[in-house]
Amino acid sequence: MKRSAAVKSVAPEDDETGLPWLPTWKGVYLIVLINFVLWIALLIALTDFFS
Amino acid sequence: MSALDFVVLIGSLLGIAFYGIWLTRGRRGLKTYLKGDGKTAWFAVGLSVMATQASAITFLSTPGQGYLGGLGFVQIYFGMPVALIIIAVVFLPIFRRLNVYTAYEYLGWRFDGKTRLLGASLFLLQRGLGAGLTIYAPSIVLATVFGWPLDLTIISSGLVVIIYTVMGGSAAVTVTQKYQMAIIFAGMVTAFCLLVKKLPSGLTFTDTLALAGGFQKLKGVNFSTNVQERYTFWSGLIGGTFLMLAYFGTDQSQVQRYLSGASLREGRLGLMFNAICKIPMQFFILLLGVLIFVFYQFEQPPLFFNAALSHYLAGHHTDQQLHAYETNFDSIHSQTNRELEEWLKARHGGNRTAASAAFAAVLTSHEQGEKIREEAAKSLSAVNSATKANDADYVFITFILQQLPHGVIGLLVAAFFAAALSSKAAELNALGSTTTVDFYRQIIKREETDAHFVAVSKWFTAFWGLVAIGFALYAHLVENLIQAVNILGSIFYGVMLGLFVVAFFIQRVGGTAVFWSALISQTLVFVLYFSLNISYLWFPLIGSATCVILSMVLQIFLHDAREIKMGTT
Repeated sequence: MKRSAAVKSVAPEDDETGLPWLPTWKGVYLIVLINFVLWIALLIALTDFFS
Repeated sequence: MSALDFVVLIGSLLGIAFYGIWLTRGRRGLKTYLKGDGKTAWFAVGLSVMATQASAITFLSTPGQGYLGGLGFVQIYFGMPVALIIIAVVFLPIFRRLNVYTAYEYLGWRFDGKTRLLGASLFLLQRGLGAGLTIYAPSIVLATVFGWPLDLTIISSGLVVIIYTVMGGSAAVTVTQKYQMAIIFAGMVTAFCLLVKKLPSGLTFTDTLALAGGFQKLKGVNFSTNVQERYTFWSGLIGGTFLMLAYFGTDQSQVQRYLSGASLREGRLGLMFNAICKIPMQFFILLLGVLIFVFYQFEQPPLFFNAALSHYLAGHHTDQQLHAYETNFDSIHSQTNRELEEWLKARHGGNRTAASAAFAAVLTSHEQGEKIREEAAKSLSAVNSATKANDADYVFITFILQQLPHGVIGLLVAAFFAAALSSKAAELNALGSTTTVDFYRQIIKREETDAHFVAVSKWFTAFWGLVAIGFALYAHLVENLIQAVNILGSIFYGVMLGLFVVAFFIQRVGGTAVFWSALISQTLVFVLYFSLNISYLWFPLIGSATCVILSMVLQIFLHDAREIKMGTT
C-alpha cells in the first residue's frame, strides 16, 4: 500500500528554536552553513600557505 | 601503566557504567528500553549522536591517519552540515510524527513488509560487520598496553561491551554517553596540550606548521576532480553528503539517538550541534596526528608503532637482518635531526635559499627512513603472518604510552574505552532493537508482553555482540580501521538512502518497484566496488541515485493497480 510521506505540520512549540538569539530554524541552519564555510576557508588558507 | 593509571581508568569507567545503570533502574518497558524515556534535552541528544559516531576508532585511528596522510581525511565530513540540515527538516519530523521504534518501520508503513525487511536487513548486515571493526579498536589498546594476545583482548573487551549494553538499554546509553564524551574530550585536550609542550623549544608555531606543510600534512582541501583520488573537496561535499545523509538518516544506531529527544526541537538542535562541531572536532584530532608526526621528526620514533611488530622485533634481537634495519633507521633519523637543525637555523636567520636546500635534504632523508620501514615490514610479514596489522592505528597509543605522564595515560586509555563503550553500546542496542521490532515482532510473535520483547531484545543484542567479536577476529586484515568503517558504510548506505528518498519524495512509486530496484542497485554497487577504481565516497551517491531512478522506471512498467490505491494519499 502506498501512502503519503509529506510532513503536514509541526506543533507550534516545535516551530520555535527556544534560542534567544536565533528564534527561527532558518537562522539556525544559516549559522550552520556559515560555520561550515568559515572552516573551509581556514582549511584552504592552511593548504595554500603551508603546502 | 602505573597504579595511578589503573585507578583513573577503572574509576572513571565503572563510575559511569554504574551511574547509568542506577539512573535507569526500574525502566522495564519496551519503549523505554529501545527509545529511552523521551525526555532527553538537546545537548544530551547532540552528545549522544556524536558519541555514537565517534567510536574508539575515531580517537585511536584518526590521529594515525593524520600522522600518515595529514589533514586530507577531514574532507569526508564536508557533506555533514548539509546532510544534517536535510535530516532535521525532512526525516526527523516524519519519524517523530509516526512514533516509530526503528526507521525501517516507516518503510513498512509507506511501502510494504518486504521493503521494510529489506531495509532492516541491509542495516543489520552493514552495521553487524561494522560492529566488528569498532570492537577491534579497544583491543588494540589492551594488546599494546598489556602485551596480551590480540585475540584474547578482542574477546574479553567484546564481552564487557555486551554485558554493559544488555543491562542498560537505550536510556542507559544516552545517559552515560554525555559523561563518556566528557572523559574523551578531557583526554584528547590533555594529550594535545602535552604534545604541544613536548615539541622542541626552538620550534615556533609557524615553524611547526611550515614543517608539517613541507611534508604535505596540512593539505586540508584538495580541489582535484579526479574521481580516483580518495579524499577531495568534491568527493567529500557531494559523495560525503550522501554518505552522511544515509548514515544519520537511515542507520538505526543514529535514528534511535535523536528520536530519544524530548521533542522535535531537542532532536533538531542535537543534530545541529553535530553539524557545527564535527568538522572542528575531526580537524583537531587529525592535527593531533600531524603534530605527533612533527614531534617524531625530532624524537627517535620506533621502527614500528604496531605492537605485534615491536614485540616480534624485541624477541628477535639476534636476527642480524632485523638488527640492521633498526640500526639504519636510527642513523637516518639522526641525520634528519641534524638537517632539521640546519633548516631551523637558516629559517630563523632569514636565509631562504639555505632553508630550502636544508629542507630538501630533510625530505630525502625522511624518504630513505620510510623505505627502510617498508622493507623491514615486508621482511617481517614474510616470516610471521601475524605482523600484518596497519602501523597507523598504533601511532597514537604508542605516543601516549611512551611520552605522556602517568595518570594522563590512564585518562586516555579510559577515553578510548569510553568511546568504545558509547558507540558499541548504541550499535548493539540498535541491532538488537531492529532484529526484535522489524523481524521477531513482524514474523514470529506479533502479540506478546513488553517484558517478553525486552528479554528478546536483550538476547538479540548479545547475539550481535558475539557476531561482532567473530568479525573483529579478522579485522587486522583491513587497511586502516577508520577508513574500513567508512568503506563498509559506503557500500550499503547508498541503497538504504535510496529507499528512504523514494519513500519521502516520490509518491508514485510503490513497494514492489522500490524493492526490486534496491536489490538490483545493491548488486550493482557490489560489482562496481570490485571493478571500478574510484573513491569509495562516490558509492552512496551511485547506490541511491540508481535505486531512485530504477524504481521510477520499474514503476512505469509494473504500474500495478494494487499499489496505486486511490484515496490513500
